Amino acid sequence: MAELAASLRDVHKNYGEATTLVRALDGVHLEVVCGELLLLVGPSGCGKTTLLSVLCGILDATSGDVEVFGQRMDRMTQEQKTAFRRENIGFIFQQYNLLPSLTAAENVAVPLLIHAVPWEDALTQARAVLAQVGLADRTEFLPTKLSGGQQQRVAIARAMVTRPRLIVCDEPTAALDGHTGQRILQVFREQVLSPERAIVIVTHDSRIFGFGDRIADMRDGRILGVHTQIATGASQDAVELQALHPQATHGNEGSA
Amino acid sequence: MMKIAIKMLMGDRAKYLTLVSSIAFVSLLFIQQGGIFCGLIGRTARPVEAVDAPIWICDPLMRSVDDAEPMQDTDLYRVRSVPGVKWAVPLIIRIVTARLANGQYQSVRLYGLDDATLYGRPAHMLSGDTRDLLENDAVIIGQAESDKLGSPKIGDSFEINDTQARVVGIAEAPRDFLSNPFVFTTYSRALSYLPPDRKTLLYILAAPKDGVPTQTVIANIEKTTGLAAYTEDGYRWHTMGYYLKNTGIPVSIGVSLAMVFVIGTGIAGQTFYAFALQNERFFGALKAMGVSGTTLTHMILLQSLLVGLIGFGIGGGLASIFGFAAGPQSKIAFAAPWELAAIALCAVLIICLLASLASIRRVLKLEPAVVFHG
Repeated sequence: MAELAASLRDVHKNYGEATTLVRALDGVHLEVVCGELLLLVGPSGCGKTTLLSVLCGILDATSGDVEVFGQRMDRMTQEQKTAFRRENIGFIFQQYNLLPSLTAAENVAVPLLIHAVPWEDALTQARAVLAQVGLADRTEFLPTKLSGGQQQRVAIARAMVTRPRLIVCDEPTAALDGHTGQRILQVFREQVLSPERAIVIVTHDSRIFGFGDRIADMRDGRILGVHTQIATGASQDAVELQALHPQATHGNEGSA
Repeated sequence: MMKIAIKMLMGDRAKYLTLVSSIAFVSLLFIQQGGIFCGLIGRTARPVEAVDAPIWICDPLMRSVDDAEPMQDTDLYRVRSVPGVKWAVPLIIRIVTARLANGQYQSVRLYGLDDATLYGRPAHMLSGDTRDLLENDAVIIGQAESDKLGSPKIGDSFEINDTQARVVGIAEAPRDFLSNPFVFTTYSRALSYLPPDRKTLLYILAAPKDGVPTQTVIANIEKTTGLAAYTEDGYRWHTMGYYLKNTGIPVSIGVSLAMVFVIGTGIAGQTFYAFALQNERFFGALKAMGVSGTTLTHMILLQSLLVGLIGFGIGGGLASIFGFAAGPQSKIAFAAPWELAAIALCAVLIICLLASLASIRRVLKLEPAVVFHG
């Protein structure tokens, strides 16, 4: 049986109080296992991003148990969470969040530099990972000189470079056209996913539903169900989920 | 990570240049205003420096070199009799009014030098000879501010107290605080230029005997005669202290320096804060990826320090250009001792520290979850 990467048990996250109380997470139960690509889907405002933030310890849950690789996140201090993220979690953001004054290689090297890897060694490793995601000829480009898809691949390389066991992605295809989005998900499956690593992707882009091993359907702060797909590709589950989420976007049709 | 901090700072050219230029401007104003302050206060002591005597003796009530508290003529002989005194000569320094050939009046700083030795005479003559002071009606004028006397040449004359003063030489002389032309003559002739007074001796200049410490002689003079005695440096500071305490110069310049400090802190602080705001999601991403608050604080402090040092270098350089352009003989009073540069650097570093505090607070309080907000 695959190792459990993360588990959330009866997790609540409230914002505000009394009349302004918002239950962003309302008793979430979810497990993520190593070697899987889990898609967390649902309409805007259903709590996907909050769940992702709680999962990786950048938001504290109001109540409930959050465990990642056997460590209780809800019992860690902020410093311990920071160190835990540094060692175990890779991040891919919707807006990429690449530092605009750094080249692609320097951006990818940032997590290594956080680990105190010497500058030149970090750059060498970063260039190697960029080559893995097909950007060997773009290592010295500034983010502004890269297309949206290329920037996202740089962000993927940055998340991979320290070989974290959990990678979390927030809407990785939201700013990409459909074709580029699918290519990015292929990169995830072919280059990022491995038996000892789990990937959690928050999305409401229905075109990539077929790339997940499992799809957690979220609504109003709760997980309504987790659908297992038999094989990658446009499965029946994905088609059903697409029907469940008519407001799900079809990505940015413009070129990023 | 510190290299990343530097690249982040310099990558945002507009904000980087705004920060550096604001700090450079603060540094320039600080050194320039501070330099004018030092220059002005320094000029109050120029009449003392122009004489170059080891020991100055005067009435204990004398508050500055521009004051006039005469002593008894016999005090000169009392000083000469003090143990350890090698020699002592009289000196007059007074502000008097000259009447020019065209009928205009002009204040001048009159030096009456000991007739026998001419001690305190100008060290560097531009034309003429100091020995010509022994001729009738002879005076030597300092070149600085001599335009106020109509830029006289050797042989020209003017009047002081209805008595002719004939120019026999032109010497290098400093500019003083009051910007009066310097006029040197003999002690006896200076007395004829002054209004009649019962007591006329203003200063006694003295030197210690070989091997006797100056401070010992000064103590002997004060104890024996009851007069005040100073080293030249001591009398310089005595005079400068009078102007520091009794004029509005320190307050005026202090207010402008305080304004420079406050405005500089404001501009740099706002720009730093805007820089932090603009880079909030990047700082958030770094926090999410595991950069500690301490490292982020160090990164911001490094950025601040770098801006401070580069800005100070540029500002200090511009202030130096201003100082060189003004020059030592300029009408603009400007002096920038190393202490002023050190104080300005400290001020700039404090400004940078204060400016970065708001950014540090913002970044430390930043929830890394901000990175997930599209």
